[in-house]
Amino acid sequence: MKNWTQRIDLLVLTGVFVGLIFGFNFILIFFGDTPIHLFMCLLFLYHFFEFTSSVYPRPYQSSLHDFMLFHSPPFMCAFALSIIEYYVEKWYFPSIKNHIYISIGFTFVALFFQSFRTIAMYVAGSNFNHYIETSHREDHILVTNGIYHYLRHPSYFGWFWWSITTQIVMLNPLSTVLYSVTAWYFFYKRIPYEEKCLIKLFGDDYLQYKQRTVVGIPFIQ
Amino acid sequence: MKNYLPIGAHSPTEFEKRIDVMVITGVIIGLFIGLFIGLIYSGVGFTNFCIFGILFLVFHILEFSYVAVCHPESVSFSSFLLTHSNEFLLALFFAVTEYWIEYFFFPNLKTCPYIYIPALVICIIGQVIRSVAMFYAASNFNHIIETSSRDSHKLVDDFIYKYLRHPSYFGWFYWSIFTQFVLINPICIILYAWASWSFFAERIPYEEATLYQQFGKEYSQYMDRTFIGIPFINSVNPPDLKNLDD
Repeated sequence: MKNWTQRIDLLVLTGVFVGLIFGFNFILIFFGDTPIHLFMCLLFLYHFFEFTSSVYPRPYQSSLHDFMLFHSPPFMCAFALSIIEYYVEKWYFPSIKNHIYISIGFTFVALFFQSFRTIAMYVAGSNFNHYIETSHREDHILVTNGIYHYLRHPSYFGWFWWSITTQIVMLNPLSTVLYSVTAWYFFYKRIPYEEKCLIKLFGDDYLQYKQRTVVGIPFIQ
Repeated sequence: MKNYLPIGAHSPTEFEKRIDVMVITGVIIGLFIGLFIGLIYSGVGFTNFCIFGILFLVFHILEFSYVAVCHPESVSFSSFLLTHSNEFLLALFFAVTEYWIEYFFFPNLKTCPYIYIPALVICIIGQVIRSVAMFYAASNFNHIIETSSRDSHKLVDDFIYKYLRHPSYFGWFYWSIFTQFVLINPICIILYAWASWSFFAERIPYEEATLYQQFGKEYSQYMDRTFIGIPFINSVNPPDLKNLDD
């Protein structure tokens, strides 16, 4: 018997759940409290695209992890904090939450950065992984075309700016700063390590690639 | 053993067996359920149409879940039964069309909660009976009548089957009719009742004949102590084997 996370019934029910939350919040953008529902739509759209782009290179094999719904404890804490901040500020400083047009405008910015991550995952195909790979796979190649022509870590670039803009969508001043610092620190630790592994795998090819591309996240070389 | 194929489902293509195709179908179904719940929550006038939409979509999720859980080797996009048959889609089209035409002319009559809320309760009961019956019967249940015996095929006669011989048909029959009460569609109530009844009136006697052929006297005794539960449908006991020649 397969690992329970690979059961097709749970995968489809998780898909139903993701679609349901998105659909419910989509309606409430128009009938309810706009900023938080825009945020929820962005979040669950993200989970949907995580799944579709993860499964793209392997359509007959998947697991619940592909949705990244329970990304990591820090991610869940950050999510909870942003919701708490939203409602506390709405209660005490309602005028902060009235700037609907900032919220709507930055929704499109967030979608723009989401596209970087999703396109990057599609272009990388089976070379993409949600986890850093430290050993060589036979079919693992260096991807330098498409979006990777300009950015070395387009999925990180997209995710970094996406996560920050979601907090601007929520009109959350504290979480915007918190998300910026936390996401930056995460990539500050991860990217150098990942590049060390890639240099070990691809040698000079990667060093040359590094010369002509950028990371796109400020102060990370 | 041959692959399990639900009624109305065609033999799935490789594309339809893809996990991403099934999951994305689930996401789209969930999306519409979420939209309907959002509309109900927002207080739109056509609440019962949204309720019908949810009932309809939940039905398809449960049909899929049954296949995924009990016949995982056969699961595919067609397990959702979304492309069940032209008759099924036509009936859905009639129901939606009748609703919106009548809503346009008689909006208050079309959204009377004293009609659609009791109907919703009956639909839920019908769906529960159908799904419980299907899951409980496990791999013995089949959307297609089996005309050859499987080694693992045994007569299920306990739990819900202790009282009803065809609980999944019983549940679906009342579910389908009362979805039209939810919509307060007078024409489709009659249409659905007639269509469902005539379908089962033909199917159940034939199915019981094949079951009698497999289980013999045991099934005959089972028939003596149970009901079909759909009005005016009866089977000769023991079933007439000549039906199988058709």
